[in-house]
Amino acid sequence: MGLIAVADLLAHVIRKLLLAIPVIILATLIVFLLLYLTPGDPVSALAPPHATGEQLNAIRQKWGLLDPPYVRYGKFLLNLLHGDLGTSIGFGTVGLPVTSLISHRLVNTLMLMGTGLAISYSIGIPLGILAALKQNKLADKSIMVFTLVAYAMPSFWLGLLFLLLFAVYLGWLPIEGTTGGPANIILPAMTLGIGNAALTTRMMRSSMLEVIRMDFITQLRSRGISERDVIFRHAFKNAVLPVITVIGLDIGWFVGGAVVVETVFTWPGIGLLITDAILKADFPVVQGCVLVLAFFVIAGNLMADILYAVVDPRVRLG
Amino acid sequence: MTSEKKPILEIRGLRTQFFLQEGTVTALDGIDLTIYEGESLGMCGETGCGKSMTAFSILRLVPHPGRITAGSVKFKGIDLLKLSHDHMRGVRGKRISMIFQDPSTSLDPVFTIRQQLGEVISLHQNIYDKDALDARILDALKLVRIAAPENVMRQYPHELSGGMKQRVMIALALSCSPELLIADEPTTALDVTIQAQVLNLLKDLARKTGSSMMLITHNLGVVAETCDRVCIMYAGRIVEDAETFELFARPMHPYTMGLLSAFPKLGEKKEELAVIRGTVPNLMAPFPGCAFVDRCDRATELCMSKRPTRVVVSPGHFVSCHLYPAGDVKPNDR
Amino acid sequence: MNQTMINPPRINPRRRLNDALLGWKMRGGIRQIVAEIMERGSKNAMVVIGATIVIILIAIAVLAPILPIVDPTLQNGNALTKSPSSTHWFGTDTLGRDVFSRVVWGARISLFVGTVAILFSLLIGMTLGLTAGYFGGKIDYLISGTIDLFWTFPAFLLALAFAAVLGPSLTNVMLAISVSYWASFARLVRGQALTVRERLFVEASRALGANNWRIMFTHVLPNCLAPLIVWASIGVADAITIESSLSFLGVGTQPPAASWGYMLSSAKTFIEEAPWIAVFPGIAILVAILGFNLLGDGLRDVLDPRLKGLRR
Repeated sequence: MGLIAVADLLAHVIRKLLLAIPVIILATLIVFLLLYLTPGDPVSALAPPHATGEQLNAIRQKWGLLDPPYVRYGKFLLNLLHGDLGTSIGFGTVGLPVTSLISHRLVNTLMLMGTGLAISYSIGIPLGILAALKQNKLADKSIMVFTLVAYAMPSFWLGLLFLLLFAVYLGWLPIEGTTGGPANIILPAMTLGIGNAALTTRMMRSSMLEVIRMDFITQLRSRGISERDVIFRHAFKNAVLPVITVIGLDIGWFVGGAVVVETVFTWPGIGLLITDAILKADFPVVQGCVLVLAFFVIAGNLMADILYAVVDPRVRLG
Repeated sequence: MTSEKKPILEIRGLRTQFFLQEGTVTALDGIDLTIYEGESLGMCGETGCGKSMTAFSILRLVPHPGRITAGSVKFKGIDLLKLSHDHMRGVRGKRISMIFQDPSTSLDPVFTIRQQLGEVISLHQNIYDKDALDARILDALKLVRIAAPENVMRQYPHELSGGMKQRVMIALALSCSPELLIADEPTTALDVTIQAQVLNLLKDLARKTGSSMMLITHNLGVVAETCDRVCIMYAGRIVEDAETFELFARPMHPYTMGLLSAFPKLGEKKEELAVIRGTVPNLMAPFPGCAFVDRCDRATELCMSKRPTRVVVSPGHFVSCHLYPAGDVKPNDR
Repeated sequence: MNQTMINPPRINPRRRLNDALLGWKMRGGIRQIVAEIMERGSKNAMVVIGATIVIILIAIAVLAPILPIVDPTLQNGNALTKSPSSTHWFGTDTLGRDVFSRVVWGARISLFVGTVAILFSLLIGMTLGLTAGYFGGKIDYLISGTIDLFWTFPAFLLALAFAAVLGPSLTNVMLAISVSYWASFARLVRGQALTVRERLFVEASRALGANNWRIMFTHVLPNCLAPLIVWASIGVADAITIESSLSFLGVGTQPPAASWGYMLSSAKTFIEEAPWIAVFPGIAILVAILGFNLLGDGLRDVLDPRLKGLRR
C-alpha cells in the first residue's frame, strides 16, 4: 500500500474512534442510571441481620449510597477509569472485586465467541456461494429452507437438542462445561455458530448474486479468464467484502447468544456470570457485566467500520 | 471492386434467442456478416436492435437464458460455435477481444490495474516472471498513451478518470495482440472531448497492429469517422451494409435513409429533426415479413408476408428490402 | 300456466370477494393497501404458510380454555415423568403435569407477550418518530441519536439489562422488550415524517396555514403502513425469541405462568430423566417464530421488494 493510502486509512480509523467515545460515555451513563434507579435497597445484603437504623445509615454512608446522583456517577466514572468496577454483594462472592470475577471468565467467553464465529463463517460462506451459483435449483432452495429454520430456532433450544443428542443419547461429550477443555467447547460453539451461519449464508448469497451480474464479470470472461478464476478469485473477493465487514456487527449477536448458550452448557463465561448475578440480585456484578458486554458490542461495531475501510479501497476516501 | 483481402470473420445465419417464461425473444434473426483483415466494420442501429448481442454471440458470452440456436461463426475458418469451452477461452482475449461500453463498471474494483493486466498477459502469453510481466504491463499502458504508467499501474480503477479507465480497457483488450477487436459503444459513456481522443487511439492502434475492428455504436458520426464499412441493424436483422462513403452517399434501405436524415449534420439548416415514426417491434412475436414494415413509408403487401433476401445493388453494397428485388442474387460475397 | 321461474344467479363467493376487494382498491387509502395485501399475498407461498401458522397459533391461544385438554397445572401423582403415550401426547413432567396441555397454554403467554410488547414498541416508536420528524432541529438530533444507539445495540442484551433491573415477571418482560425494540419503528416513522415535512414546507410557502400536526398524522401513517406491518410481524418473532430466552434464563415469566421458555429451563435440569420436555416446547417456539418470520418476509416481498436488505 502506498504511503498516501496508509495515511487515508489512519485518518479514517481515528475519525471512527473519536465517534465511538461519546457512545461509550453514553453507555456508562445508561448503565449507571439503570442501577441507580433500581428499586430496592442493596444495603440489606450488606448489613448484618438485625442492624439498627443508625447502623444501616452508617453502612449506606460507607458505600456512598447517600451521595447525590451526580457525585455517585462521578465516582463511578472515576473508579471505572481506575479499572475498579465495584465489589460483589452476591451470595458466595461478597467482597470480591467485580473486576477479578469478570476477568476470570472473560477468556472463556472470548474463546467461545471466537470459535462460534469461526464455525459460523466457515459454514456460512461456502453455503452462500453454493446457493448463489445454483440459484433456484434444488441446492439453493434447500439451503434457503435451512437458513429459515436455523434462523427461527432459538439458540438455547438448539443447545438443548445438541445436549440431548450428543451428551445424553450418544454420550460422546460431557454435559457440563465446567472444565473448559476442548471437548467441552464444541457443542456450545456449534450452537452459537449454526444460528449465525444462517444470517451469513443469506448475506453471502445475495452479495454473490449481485456481483455475478455486474459488467466486469462479463468483461473478465471476455478476456478468456477461466470460469473458476472469475468466480473464486474475482467475484468472491468482491462479494465477500460486505460479509466480512459484518463480523463486527455479528459480535453484537454473539454476545447475546453467548449469554444464553453459556447457561445451557454451564460454560464458565461472562454470560453465566451475569445470569447468576441477576438471579442473586448482585447488582455491582450485573452492572460490571453489562458494561463489559456493551463495550464488546461497541468495539465490534467499530471493528466492522475499520475492517471495511481496510478491505475496500473505495471506502477510505469518504 | 474486388479485393484480395481475406475474410477474418464470417457469420452465417446466426440466430440467438432468449427463452423466458413469458415467451421466446429472438434477439438475432439470421445474421450474415463478413469482416476482412485489417478492416474496421461499424455496426449501427437503435438500442435493442441486437448489436451488442452479435458481439456476445461471437464470443459465446450470451447470458442465460439466452442461447445461440442456429448459424455459424467462422473465425479464420474455424467455427467458433463448435469449439470446446477451453478452446473458446483460448480465443477470448487472445485472438478476439472486446471492449465494453461503461468503463466505470467494467473493471474489477478491488484489484489494481497491474494485477488485472498481469492476469491477462500471464494467462495468454505464459509470462510468469514478475519483472518481465511488469515490463509488458508498462508496454501495454504506454501503447494506449497513458502518462506516468508506473503510477497508474499501482492504482485502483476508482482512482482513475473515465477516459483513463477506457484506455486501460483498451490496453487490456489489446495486450495480447488480438486479430479482431470488438468495441461496444466505446465512447458513449465518455465526455465529448475524450471521445475523439479514444476514437483516434483505436483507429491508430488497429492500423498499427493490423487487427480488424468491429465498432458497435448508434452514433453515425463515429462510424463516418472511423469505419471502412458499415452495417445497419434493425430488430435483430441486418438491413443494409456497404462501404461507409457509399452508404452515406447512396443509402438504399428506407431505414437507413430515415437514420441519415434524422441525424443532424453541421452546416445543414433544419427547423425540426426528422423522426422515424413508430417504435421497434416486439421481438417476442414472430413476424413473417420485413421487420421494418410498420414504420416504412413505402411498405407493400409483399413486405408484410415475405422476408426480403439480401441482394447486391452495387459492388460491395448489400440491402435486404423488397424495393430491390432479388435480381442479382449474390447473397454472401462481395 | 307459464311459470317463469327465475332462478337467482349463483353468486360465486370468490367473485364476491374479488369485487369487494376491487371496490376497496378503488377508494384508495388504507383500504387499498389492505386489498393489495390480500390479493398479492394470497399468491405468495411464504405469506400463505406464515399466515396459516399465525392464525392457527392465535386460535390455539385464544381457544385454550375451552379445548378438551387436561388442566395444565394439575399434578397427577400417578403419572410422574411419563414419556409420550396415547394418554399424554407429549408425556408428563416430574410433577405429573401433562406437557401437551402446558404447551398449548404456553401459547397464550408467548403470543400475548410477543404481540403486546411489539404493540407497545410500535406506539413508543411511532410517537418518538413522529416527534422527531415533526419538530426537526435539536429535538430530532437528540431523538435520532438515541434511536441509533438503541438500534445498533442487540435488543436481547437491552431487554436482559432491563429485566435484570426491573425484576423477573411477565409485565417486566413485556416492558423490557418494548423499550429495546422501539428503535426500528421509530426510524421508519421518522424517515417518513421528514419526507412529509419537506413537502409541507414547500406547500406552506403557498400559505396553506393548516393544522400541521393533523396533516402530518394523516399523511405519514398511511405511507408507513406497509413497512410497519412487515417490521411488526418480524418484530413479534423477535419478541417471542427474546421472551423465551429471558424466561429460559429465569429472568422472564415466572411460574405458574408457564411460558415455553420457562418450560425449557426446567427441562434442562431434568434432561436425562425426561428428555421429551426439552423437545416439544422448543418445537412450539420454532413454529411460532417461523410463522411470524415467514409472514413478515413474505409480506415484504409482496409489498415492497425494495425493503430487502434493510434488516440485518
